[in-house]
Amino acid sequence: MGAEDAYPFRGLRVLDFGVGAVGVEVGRLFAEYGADVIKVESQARPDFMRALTPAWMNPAFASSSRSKRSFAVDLSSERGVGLLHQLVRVSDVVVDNNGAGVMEKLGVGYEALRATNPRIVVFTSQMVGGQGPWSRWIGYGPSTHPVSGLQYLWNYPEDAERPAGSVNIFPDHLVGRIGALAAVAALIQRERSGRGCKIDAAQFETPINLLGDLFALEELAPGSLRPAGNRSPRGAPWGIYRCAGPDEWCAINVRSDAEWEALRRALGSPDWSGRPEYRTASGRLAHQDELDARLGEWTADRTPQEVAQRLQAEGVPAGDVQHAAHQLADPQLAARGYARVVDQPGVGGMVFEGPSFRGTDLPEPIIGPAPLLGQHTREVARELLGLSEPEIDALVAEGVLEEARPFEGAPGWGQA
Amino acid sequence: MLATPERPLAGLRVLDSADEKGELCGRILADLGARVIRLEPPAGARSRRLPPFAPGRSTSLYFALRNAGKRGITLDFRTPTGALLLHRLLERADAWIETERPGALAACGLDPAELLARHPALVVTSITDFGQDGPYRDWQGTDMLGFAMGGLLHRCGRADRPPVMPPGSLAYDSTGLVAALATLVALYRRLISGRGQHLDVSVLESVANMSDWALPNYSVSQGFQARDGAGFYALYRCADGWVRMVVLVTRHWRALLDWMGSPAELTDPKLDQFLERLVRRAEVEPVIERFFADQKKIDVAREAQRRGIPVTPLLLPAEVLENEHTRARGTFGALAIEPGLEVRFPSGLLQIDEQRVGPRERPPGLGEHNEAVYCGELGLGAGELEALRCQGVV
Repeated sequence: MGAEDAYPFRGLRVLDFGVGAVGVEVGRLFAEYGADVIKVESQARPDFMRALTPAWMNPAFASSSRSKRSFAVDLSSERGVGLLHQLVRVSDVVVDNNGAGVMEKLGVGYEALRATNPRIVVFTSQMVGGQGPWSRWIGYGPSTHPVSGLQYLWNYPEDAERPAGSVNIFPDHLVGRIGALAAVAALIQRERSGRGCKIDAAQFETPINLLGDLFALEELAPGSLRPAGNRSPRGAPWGIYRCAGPDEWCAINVRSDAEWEALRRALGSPDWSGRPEYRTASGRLAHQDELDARLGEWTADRTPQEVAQRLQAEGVPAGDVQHAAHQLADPQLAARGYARVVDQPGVGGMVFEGPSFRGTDLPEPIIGPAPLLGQHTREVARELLGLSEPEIDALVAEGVLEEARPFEGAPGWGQA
Repeated sequence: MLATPERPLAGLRVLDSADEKGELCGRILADLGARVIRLEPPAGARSRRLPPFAPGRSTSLYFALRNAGKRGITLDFRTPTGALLLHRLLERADAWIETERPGALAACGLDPAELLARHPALVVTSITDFGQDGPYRDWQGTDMLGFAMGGLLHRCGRADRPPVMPPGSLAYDSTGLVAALATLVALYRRLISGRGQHLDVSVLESVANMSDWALPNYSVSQGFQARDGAGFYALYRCADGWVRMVVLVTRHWRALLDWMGSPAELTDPKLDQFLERLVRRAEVEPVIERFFADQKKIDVAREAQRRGIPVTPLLLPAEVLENEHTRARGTFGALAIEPGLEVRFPSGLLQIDEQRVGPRERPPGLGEHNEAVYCGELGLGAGELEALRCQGVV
């Protein structure tokens, strides 16, 4: 290579068998920093996120599969598996979050991959892990909430027997980041050892590990762990308050007596706030209901952004409860250049999420469109498998390789 | 018996002065084999005083979970002597994880750019609530603000109630893990460049990146998912609790119909489509509810899963701690976090080559490794260490 390329992963190749979010996000993070990330799919086994909409392209899929290539191959054929192993020989990382046993059945389980390339780093992740009596259980991010304690604890304390639930797919995106960091650690080790390894992250164990102190408490004092809702023993007032506008809310956390005094200043020191019992944290914690009612009256007439500005000006932690429309208008995200506009074939102009981190020796992440299924089959077959055009034509005709089908008409996302 | 294989980051040296925003960063690096020195102010990290506490003790389980496996020293690097000592520690470190407010390091003579000039191979990972620049740079942040402003909270909870926070500190802990990713990307880069760098990690952007594609979707449809309880990730009441069933694809729907004996109310083939079922929820849900009502949650989950339908039982905390699956997997393990106090902590986020990767040692006592690090590694005399202690530097 000529001039030094600052992309840290330039020269690495990742085979991405990810579906949904977990594995797909690992691939995304490698692609953004220069790795050649190749989605391995087929008409029969597409990334299900792709297949959620008729044109097999939509914003969510595009975001997570950004900047990748797509190689479509039928892994139910012996020839297809053979070609895949040829790719493994020139790859560094394989990512998978299919159900337990799926990769083995396709002939691309860890042992087979390692036999082909002992330097391969494999990241695999299943909902409840690859081992244990429930390992064959299937599900999605939200399916991990009930079995990790998250569902029970993510609730209003006064209504704990009736689960509130959330439509969030947490921890999928986080497990993707854990997978990426573990894979990079393994690549660092490989520089020394010359060997790859298999990394496994059971999705339901991510929330369990993050809530580990709570589980330890439950073990020491059985029955003590209950949903806490929006309050905290760390201070008061502490919660989510209604603001002006439909379904508009703000978050306020008073962590100290000094912040309480600052909050009073921000509110213009109303009479009700002068009660002596409010001066101490214990006093405020004992009078949370009335404090919340008073503070809620004040916030109800203001937008969440206005509340945040007023309180932050006095040094009180306060912020708006954002949804996507807020994110797009958020001054901080705007100043940081968070929203990235990309022209995505099959969707049109759309916004991708920007990075979570930047560095003085990291270039801007590569944020480009996601591939159509099989968009790069021919190019990958030619460049990496050394196949001639007639050989590729024959494999496509046999159905071993699949090429992208152009969009018919313009069935973009949203026109379903 | 085979020797325990070397962990991937063996030999890596990390200095960690992070507060709650980044404590899990050093923890996962230590899990992966790095030697992490937790640096606290002489009065102790704030998180030592955060709940939950071990019953009847002042021991913070919050601190213990996030600092297990680290070594611990004290240092006030805001003092001139402390800053000098920090430089000596950084000379021997590959990475420094820090969470000072933007500009605060420069104010005590530790500007990251100057640090890098002096320690060119060092990776400085700075974790802040909103980032090193921008109009909110100096705003106060908390875990709740991160979860709220990052876009996850708005959709959580019932439609007729305020958004409701999840348990724990998921925004801050997730950011710590993102910071670990950033640190390792920079260290991987260093293998080629030989240079370190300064990383800027924010809670706001870390959380926003986990808001389920809300921004990409909105940018095209001008719509967003409103708060709606469990929504189409539905929860059903059983005889002894609840289950969650996520039926998105036709295959799962047909398996469910088959299990229910193809009830007459649900024979319309249009119901094969997810969107159709969503629109006609009022028609569909009662049939399913009746079917599950008199069965036990674990039986429902087992039979559904046997039939290939994604159902999971809602477990109470005690049931998570103790069930056939977590037991078989070793999801939890025992860790003695201080003399006479053994707790059950989750045994780690990862397995590498089938070996669990998690905390191997208890969290450090305050200043527990001062002598080992300052005298044993930096070569200070016992008298010098004592003098630093008297000056309040360590």
